[in-house]
Amino acid sequence: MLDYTKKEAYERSGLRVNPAKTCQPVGAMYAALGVHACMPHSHGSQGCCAFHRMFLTRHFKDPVMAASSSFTEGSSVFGGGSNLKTAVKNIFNIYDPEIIAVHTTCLSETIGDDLSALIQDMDIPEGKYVVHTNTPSYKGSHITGFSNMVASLIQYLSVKSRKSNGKLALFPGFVNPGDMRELKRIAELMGVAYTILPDTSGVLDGPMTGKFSLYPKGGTKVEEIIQLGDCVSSIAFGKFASEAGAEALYKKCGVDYQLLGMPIGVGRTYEYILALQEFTQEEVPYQLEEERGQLVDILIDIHPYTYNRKAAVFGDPDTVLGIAEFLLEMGMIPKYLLTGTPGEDFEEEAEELFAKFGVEGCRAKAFGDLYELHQWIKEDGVDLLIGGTHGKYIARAEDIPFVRAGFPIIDRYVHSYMPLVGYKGGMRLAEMICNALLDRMDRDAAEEDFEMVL
Amino acid sequence: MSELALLDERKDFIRQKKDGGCSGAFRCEANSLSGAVSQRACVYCGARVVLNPITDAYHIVHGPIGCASYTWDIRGSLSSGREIYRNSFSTDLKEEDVIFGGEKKLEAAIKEIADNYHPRLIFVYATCIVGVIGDDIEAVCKKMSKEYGIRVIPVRSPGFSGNKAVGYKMACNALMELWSRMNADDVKRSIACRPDIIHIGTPVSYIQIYSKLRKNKSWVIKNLLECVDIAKNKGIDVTVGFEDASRADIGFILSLAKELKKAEVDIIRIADTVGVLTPSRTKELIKTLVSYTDMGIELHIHNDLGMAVANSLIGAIAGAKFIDCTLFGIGERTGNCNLYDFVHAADVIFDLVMNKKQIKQIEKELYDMFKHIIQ
Repeated sequence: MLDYTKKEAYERSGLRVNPAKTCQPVGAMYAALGVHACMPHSHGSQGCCAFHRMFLTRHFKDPVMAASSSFTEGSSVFGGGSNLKTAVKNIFNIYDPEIIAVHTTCLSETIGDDLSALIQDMDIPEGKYVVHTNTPSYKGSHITGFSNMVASLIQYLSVKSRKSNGKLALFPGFVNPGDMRELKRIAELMGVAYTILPDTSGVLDGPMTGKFSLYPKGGTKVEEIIQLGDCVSSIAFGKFASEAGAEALYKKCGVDYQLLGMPIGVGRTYEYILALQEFTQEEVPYQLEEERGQLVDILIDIHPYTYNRKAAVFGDPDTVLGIAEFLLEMGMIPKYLLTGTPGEDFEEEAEELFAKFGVEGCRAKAFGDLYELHQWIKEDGVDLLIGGTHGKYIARAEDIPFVRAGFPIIDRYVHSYMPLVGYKGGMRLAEMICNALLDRMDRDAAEEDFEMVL
Repeated sequence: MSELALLDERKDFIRQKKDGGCSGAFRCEANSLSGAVSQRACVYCGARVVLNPITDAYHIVHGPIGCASYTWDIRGSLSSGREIYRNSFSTDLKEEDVIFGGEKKLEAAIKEIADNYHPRLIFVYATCIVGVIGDDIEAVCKKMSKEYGIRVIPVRSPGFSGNKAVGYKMACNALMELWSRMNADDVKRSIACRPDIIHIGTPVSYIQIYSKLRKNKSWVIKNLLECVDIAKNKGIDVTVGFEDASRADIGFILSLAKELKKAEVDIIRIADTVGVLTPSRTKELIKTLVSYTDMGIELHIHNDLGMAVANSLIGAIAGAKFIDCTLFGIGERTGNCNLYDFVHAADVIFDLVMNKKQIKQIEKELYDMFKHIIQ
């Protein structure tokens, strides 16, 4: 497996091998799905829409609906304006959503379709909305697309009226529905009234009811997005995925925001809870205190097997940094951190983390790919690999225990219903890491070392 | 079972099982309506799916990262051994490449693979954006092919140029290019054996070009010259064989010969593959060739009509410098020109370095060696 990878590094100038990211539109589609009764719309070739739906469905194991402008050669020459007009008409006629969230593709961006103008000139039924975001696939990554969609939703819809609604706005970042549920649960335990954008819980992790719903119960309502302008303040989790949205709300409606790291692990979850406490001025309920204590207890219990173990983490920048910090809390060493998304901030923040916990010899790279990670591992191995499904080839080739956390995870089930954030998420992640290491111990143990008690 | 609510435009695409039956023609191969929640894929997808199981090829996707990441490991293959196709290769075009053109990046990508991995074959897939910004991937592929002496094949598959079925077609076209130029591969393998001379054979009669090869004359000329070029570039001498020349159009033979002379090929071999020549026709053919081409002529005659020796002799008299003979006249069907008989007849006309007595001796020795098998 993967015998193609050469151990010695060589100059790489033109080729991306085994990418650790994907393109903007799929991120925008995911964000749009987090809006209630929203039909995401892909303004480009048929292939784009089909691929993005497929990619998301493989991860969530749930149906994903989105429409396409279905570009042909004609549209590429004369522009996709008529495609979009027809599309919007058809979508409202056939699928009747409350809002259509259009995102562009590299094709429509390159031919220069001006979506703001097109949408302004459109006949939109009363009480319905059409918004758009620009997501050229040759810039950034799927995280950028997600971030752009959230920002655009706010730019189109949010308004500031004269009265505050007393709520906190939450921008969860590019996380699973399970994570969003956990963020909401913590906020509710703290007694905070919130609006979370986007909210894919109840959309992509909905129950089996025996009936197919084109628009499941979940998702942030359009009115809620409009009223975001009246929020007291907002919290954005993850710089890469959420800062743009929070910034847009601040610029448009003057809502102050706090930029926090992804709340994975003890410290960052605590940071979130403190921010909530500052908002409510109430005491933190014992339940959360207990959960924190439980997590710390667990980390101590497992440390004989985890302490000083080296791990490689790859995936989306905010998630990788969050997991890295948790690993450091556990006493593990995040030896290699890699993301496919471009951005020097990732490397800077990683270096700050390494310095804060006093570890040396660790490497972080943005805009990298899994081929490079494989080469690093070949040169100097690790005890554990953490990331999305595409790491399984490296795990198999180098015989390393592999924990699936991040995006996309397309060869396992259940993960999207479960959190990585919060104390509960930390417990889950600690369990997965510890189990992977202990499974490996059991697998490789000689008969006499095959222990009953570990 | 309730009636399905169907769009009028879509009625022909759907067949519903009713009253125990489900018959009638299906419509397919159309594009989706704008705004439909459709699962239809694009041209690139179709091409990728067809070619992915060529497991020891490098499949490079020329475009932004999405196209490659969504088709990573898109189709498996039960072939064993090579796993290269399970990696995902992309030129990951960025904004600068879209503005200023991605050809340089594609070249760099191909170089990276060629320098480090010495591949046999590279496919380069065009995606939507390549179609719009106008990267000339054919030119890049050709250039890289020549520079590295490997096959780099462009697949013309920008996503918007049709639907998935068109993609299958584009992939098949690319495959055709691969197979039909297998001669080039043979030439390269020959080069690896370090010969002094490489002989390249090609059919020249219309009946063989059109029905056996399913090609046309211009393809033959182009392909032949390319193969000659490959060998010549390595400093190896080339001779070219015209198969089925006895049934070929003399004008075509002469024009081919002319092109070959320009390519510094000095010897052409005329084959009477199906054995239909007569002495007078042979004389006419060879005389024409010698006077019009000023090249060395080699003659390869079969004995279907019992005239192999006669035709060979007349050909030699008419100016052919090289005559193909075999011991015992062994060869396909009724055999080739018998060496003993030819020497017997030609001895009085030409100055030969061997006489028929020596030939007889060799025949005897050969016979003694193999008689227990022949018996």
